[in-house]
Amino acid sequence: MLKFYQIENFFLNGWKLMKFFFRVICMIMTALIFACTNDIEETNGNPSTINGLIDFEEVEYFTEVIGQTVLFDIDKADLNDSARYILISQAVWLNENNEYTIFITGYADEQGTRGYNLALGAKRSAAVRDFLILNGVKEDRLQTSTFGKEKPLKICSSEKCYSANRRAVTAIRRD
Amino acid sequence: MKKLFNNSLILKIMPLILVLSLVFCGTFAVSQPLKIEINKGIIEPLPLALPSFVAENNLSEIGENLTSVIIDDLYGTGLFKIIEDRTQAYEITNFNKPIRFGDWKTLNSQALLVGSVSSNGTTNITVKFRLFDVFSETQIGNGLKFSGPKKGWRRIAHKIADEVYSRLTGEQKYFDSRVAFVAHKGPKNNLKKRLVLMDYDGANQVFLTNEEDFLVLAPRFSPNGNKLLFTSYESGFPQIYLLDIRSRTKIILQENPGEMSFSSSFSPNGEDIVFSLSAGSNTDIYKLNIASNSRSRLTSSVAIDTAPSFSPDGRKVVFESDRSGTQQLYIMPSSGGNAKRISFGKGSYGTPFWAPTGNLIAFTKQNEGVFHIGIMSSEGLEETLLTTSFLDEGPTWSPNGRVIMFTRETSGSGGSSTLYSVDVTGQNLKPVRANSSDPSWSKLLN
Repeated sequence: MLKFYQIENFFLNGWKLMKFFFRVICMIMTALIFACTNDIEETNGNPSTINGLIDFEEVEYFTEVIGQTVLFDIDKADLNDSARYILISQAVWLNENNEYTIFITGYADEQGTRGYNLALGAKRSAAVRDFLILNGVKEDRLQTSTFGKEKPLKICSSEKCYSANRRAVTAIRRD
Repeated sequence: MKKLFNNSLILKIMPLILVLSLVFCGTFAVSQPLKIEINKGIIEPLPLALPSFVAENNLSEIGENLTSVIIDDLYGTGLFKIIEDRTQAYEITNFNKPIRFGDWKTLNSQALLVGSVSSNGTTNITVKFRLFDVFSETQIGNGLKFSGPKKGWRRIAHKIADEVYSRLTGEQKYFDSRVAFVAHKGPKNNLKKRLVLMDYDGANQVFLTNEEDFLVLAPRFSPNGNKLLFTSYESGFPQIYLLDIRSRTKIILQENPGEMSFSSSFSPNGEDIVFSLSAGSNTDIYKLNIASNSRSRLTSSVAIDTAPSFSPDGRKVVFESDRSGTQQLYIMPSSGGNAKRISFGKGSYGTPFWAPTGNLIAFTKQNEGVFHIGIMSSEGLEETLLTTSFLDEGPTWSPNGRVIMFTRETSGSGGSSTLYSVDVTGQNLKPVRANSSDPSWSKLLN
């Protein structure tokens, strides 16, 4: 919990500075990622289009650069460090883009009974929701749901798939 | 099978075992009634002769069908060996003619069922049967007669099989019952799920929702069998719905912003339901009176409390909770209050389901990477594991508490769910329906 509040305080104190740096870092990261993987295409239509470079304001920035999915440990709904990292980025983006409502769904791997996994998925989506709220996202924009072990992302029966299925996904919709 | 039934039960059935041993010893002129003792796991099934029912008035097809369903019911219990002799001697041509017991003795049958089907009109049939103890040359119970519409012949067959089963085992009936479940279609990561009703043996399937409808989970029969509770994603969130089976009308029972509800089941009188409600990060058990729509909270731990099931007398609720750190089973008064833990073995326990007989609780157990269906006494004693597999879950009881149906899922990307049934003795494990899950077994039909 200590760690949790440290992050919160940091944000309250250095919120604007952080946002600025974050945006800069994100833009650089995006540019680097796509500079490495995508060449600039010659386009006949719109010459200003650079394939792959996504503006911070774009939905794709949220879904592809930041990422919608955070993962959980077995039978846990606690947010680990990498989940927090993603969720902080999500919060920054969501706070900048107020016109979106947010729908968080929790999932579980197939180990465990149906009812328990529904409850576990609910707990995971609630953990994400609470963390976003702590990081400034307005509560009335957020809704949570659970699919339990329904709708696995990957369907092998080993940890490789299970770890991908223990997730919470933040979906956004423009009102 | 790890443990046998508790001692008091064994003491109670000792006289029966004695009778049985006499029966199986064979050549005595048995003066005691013919009876199978089924609590110890059967050593040798009872040989039963079941010649085709005598069919009058061009009803031979129905006669054959009736006979074959009755054979399937009885053979399916694993308790009977059906004498398969098809010689002339095996035929019964006249229902009222005296039985030539000598013929049946030479076929080594110990019990004999004879029956007839006739029709006085166009749509109705009358089916009669008599059950005999071959060695003592006596009739077991009265002959009975069932009348009903032709298209209801399966139910008549189940009722007759129920009579035979009940008379020969001393147990309550269970064949004339239905199962609600979820049918699956498609790959594991994109399953289409539909709510389905079927006879306990898989016949007469009725689909209650469509493939393109919303995801549905976990149906539960009302005590009178007319209604189903289930979880649906129609609203975008898991919510409990109540479906009237005859009219197919459904209502949502709980719909409040920010709340999700699931894992529902009826009280024995059908007036209340218990269910899990997730609000925020917490999942607790609630009770809802259907008529008044008034809701009370039964648990308030910060843990996950789910899968509640009423005791048959309605006084208690058994449920699972991970308040101790792992999922375990607890019993509390049905008005809420102090919960007492009843599971103490290795691993975790879930989906408890109180037996209709009141003395046992079935559950799912997860331990060392495998799943089991198990039973324990309602005090949490005498844990007995009935199955082991990659993933078994969600037991439901037959109306007489002798058989448990559950979901077995196989592993891997091609894995699928199948309904299985198993005796409370751990015997007679068998698949019931492929690509299915979440069974709920009805009470005996009226």
